[in-house]
Amino acid sequence: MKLLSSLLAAAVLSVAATPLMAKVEIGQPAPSFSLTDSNGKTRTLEEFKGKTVVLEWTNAECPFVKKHYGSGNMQAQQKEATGAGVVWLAINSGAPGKQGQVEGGDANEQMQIDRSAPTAYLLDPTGTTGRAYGASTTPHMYVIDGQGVLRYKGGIDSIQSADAVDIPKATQYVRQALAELSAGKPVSVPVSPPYGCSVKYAAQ
Amino acid sequence: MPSCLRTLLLPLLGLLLMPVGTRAAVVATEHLNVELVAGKTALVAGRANWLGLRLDHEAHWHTYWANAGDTGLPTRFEWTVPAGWTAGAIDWPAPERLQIGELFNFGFSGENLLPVSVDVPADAPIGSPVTLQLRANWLICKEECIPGKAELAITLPVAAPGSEPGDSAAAPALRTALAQRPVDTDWTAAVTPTGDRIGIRLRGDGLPAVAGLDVFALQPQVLANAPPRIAADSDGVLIEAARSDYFTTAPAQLDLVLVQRDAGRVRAWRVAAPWASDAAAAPVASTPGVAASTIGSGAAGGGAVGSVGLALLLALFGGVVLNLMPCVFPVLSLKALSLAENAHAPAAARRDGLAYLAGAVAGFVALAAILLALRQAGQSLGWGFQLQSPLLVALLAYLMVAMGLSLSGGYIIGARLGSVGQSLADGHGTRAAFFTGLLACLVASPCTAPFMGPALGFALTQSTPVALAVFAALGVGLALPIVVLSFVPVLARWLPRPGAWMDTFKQIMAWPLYLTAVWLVWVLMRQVGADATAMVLLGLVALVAALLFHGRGQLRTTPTTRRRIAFALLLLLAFAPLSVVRTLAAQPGSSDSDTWQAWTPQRLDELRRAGEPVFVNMTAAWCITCLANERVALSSEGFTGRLRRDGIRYLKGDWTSQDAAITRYLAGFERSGVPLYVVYPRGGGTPEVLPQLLTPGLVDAALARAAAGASSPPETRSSP
Repeated sequence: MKLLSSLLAAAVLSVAATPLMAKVEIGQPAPSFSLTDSNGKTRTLEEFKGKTVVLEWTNAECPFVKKHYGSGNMQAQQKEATGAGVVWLAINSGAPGKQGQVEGGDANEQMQIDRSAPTAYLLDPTGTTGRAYGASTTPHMYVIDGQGVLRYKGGIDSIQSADAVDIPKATQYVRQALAELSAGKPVSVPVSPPYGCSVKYAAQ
Repeated sequence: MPSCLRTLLLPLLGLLLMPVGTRAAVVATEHLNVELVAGKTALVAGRANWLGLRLDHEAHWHTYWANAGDTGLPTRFEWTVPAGWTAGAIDWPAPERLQIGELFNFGFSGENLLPVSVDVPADAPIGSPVTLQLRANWLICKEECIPGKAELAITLPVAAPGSEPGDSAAAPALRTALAQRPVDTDWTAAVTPTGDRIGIRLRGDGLPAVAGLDVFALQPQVLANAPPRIAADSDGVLIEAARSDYFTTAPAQLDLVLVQRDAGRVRAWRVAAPWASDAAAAPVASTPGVAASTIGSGAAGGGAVGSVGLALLLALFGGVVLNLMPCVFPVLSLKALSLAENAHAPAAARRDGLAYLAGAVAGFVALAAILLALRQAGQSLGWGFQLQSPLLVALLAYLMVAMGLSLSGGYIIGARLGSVGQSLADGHGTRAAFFTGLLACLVASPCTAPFMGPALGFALTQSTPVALAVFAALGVGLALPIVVLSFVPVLARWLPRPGAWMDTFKQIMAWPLYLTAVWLVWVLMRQVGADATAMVLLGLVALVAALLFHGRGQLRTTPTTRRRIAFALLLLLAFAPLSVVRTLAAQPGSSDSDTWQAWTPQRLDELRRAGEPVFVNMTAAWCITCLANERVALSSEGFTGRLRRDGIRYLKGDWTSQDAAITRYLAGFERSGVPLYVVYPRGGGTPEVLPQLLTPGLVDAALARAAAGASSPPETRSSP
């Protein structure tokens, strides 16, 4: 009887709720997307086939993003990566009216202020792409290899803080993953906890 | 007017005489007011004193708990206190689950207080004011986030040890926060990770109702942060949560905080959920199979068994070896005896041999099926669990005595009498042979645990068909010698011819059965204590009386109704004590000795975190191999001397009665039985699993390696 009721309870529990946020798995194909960039041009994941792609969820007003831009850490990594032939896409999934959300022109202005150099700044005001990747924080980083397979997801580095003094002490996971991929090695830390502000999605 | 003056002066005087301020100023920061407070108007020397940081959040803004959830950062404290004083960590009150869009954070909103206990040394200068400084760091968020920090100080007089200063103005807020801290419980939590979901089954007295109940994990990135499903089942609470997308490795222990909010009243409990099985929860990112093959090595049975074929072969071999075990030997002898009687009829012998084989295989497969069904139901049980039930141990003791008495000639077992125990192992014919096989497998189980641990552990982590095949192979192995004997006439001819010697042999064979009964009673005593054992012994006396009485009756031609009733009453008397075994059972005491401490996952975890070398011994009273090892290798002067000299901690886990934590620990090493010996090296590193048969030299070498901090064999150790 006890056994039976336990089994019943387990059966009831196993009807899982569908999560609002999708999830992406390491070693699986990364979700494709089609987004307008800050210059009004449509960009897709497919157009970068054959190249390693870095996705960076961003929001210029978030203290954690400020930590990595104010210190120059993010821009340095962007330049390193693009210099080595890697595609770096900054993505803003903020809904219109929310803090840090930008239109195309504002995005270009912000990039000038920050002296940042991503390959493109993509606008995702509906949050469709952010949700497809399960992007929860800014920054939240993803690395996709030339075959379109996800190789890294998580934080920009290993120390969860809003304080720039921690950057030199931290392991820069994206930089490490890119170096390992270009050396043909498996990514040693493919998953790390993302940290930062929440992505300000549009209500659904 | 003097009276006028007095009314004016008194309050002023009062102000001057007031202790040096129990409150520091409120510091206003963006969206948050903070204030460092103490519970009393003075700090008492020689004890812990409660202080706290009051947080007054602007509406819709929140700060974070120890595990912040999807985003955010936990609030951090850095204290500056006088030398010899210690400020503890934040003693977190129950958090709230805060939803921001589709993300979930854990933290605090509205008015809250984060308590900290400060130890004031007994020799602190009494009366003089002392200033405590706190640098607090936090992240405050609505949807957007702002990092905040404040430097706070509080100055309080120090009161003599034993004095009781009055409450401060902040005392009620502090009391509320302290009451909202989770209270420690002795509830058990069984964690079952399946795919990307994690099931947790809570058991214990006084579990809260599930209405308004929420659960939080102290460790981040284990459970996903969306609300888990919480349901009541017949005797506990079932929690099911998605596994975090950022889950990488399972913690040794998952600390759960249960929170119940009911009309403004907040209650919270802490439950430790040991998570021993690394294999069960392979990291998201690891290659399949890696997690399963990294643990366990060098055991007598071959350690981690990699392939199904090898496991089957090992199981077969293990089954054959079982025939030599003292717990199977008496049954085997009985069968050999009946074969000897059939030696003149080869066809009957072959038929008996096959029936015995069928019985042994059926027995093992049935046990496996039960085990698998229980495993499915989420019960954490291991092989050998039959002997963890005191009732079954008592019944086996009864069976041994009853069979022994029959062999001794006290009564004759006849098929006519149709009682279960009596038709099992003796007599002739196919049916008897089948039941002998079944019985052999039942009594063999305590021996399979030590010998077949790795193979069985492997089987239990496999799919149902593979597990059943491994168990069946074990049964085939057990029956093999008898089958060979019955099929190869040459060997059968070597069996002694039936004759008068058989009666003597039969009587001699009774003694191993009695000795087995003694051993079973001893196991029972370890399980349920002296009182319940005495009842069982009384029952055994009544059983002997019943059987001897019955034996005398068999000499007469027709049993009278009166005799039958008397026999039934005596049997009733014999079995009555079994009903009280459970109620009389004493609480098992896990007494620590000079050389060892009782194993708990928490204790092991603490020692591992401290980087100390640890020797873990998983044992059970009914495990003969364990006891032999303890006698030979784990009780010598050399062994205890080595532990003392090298500061190696010795933890002993007793699996005599069922223990879910030990079962999970065993499973972590792909074992489902004891003994298990694990040596953890100093300063962390891979633990070394020792073979199941120990020698003093082998243990000493392993301990020396662990003390030196090397987990690998000696050749890779750098010379000093």
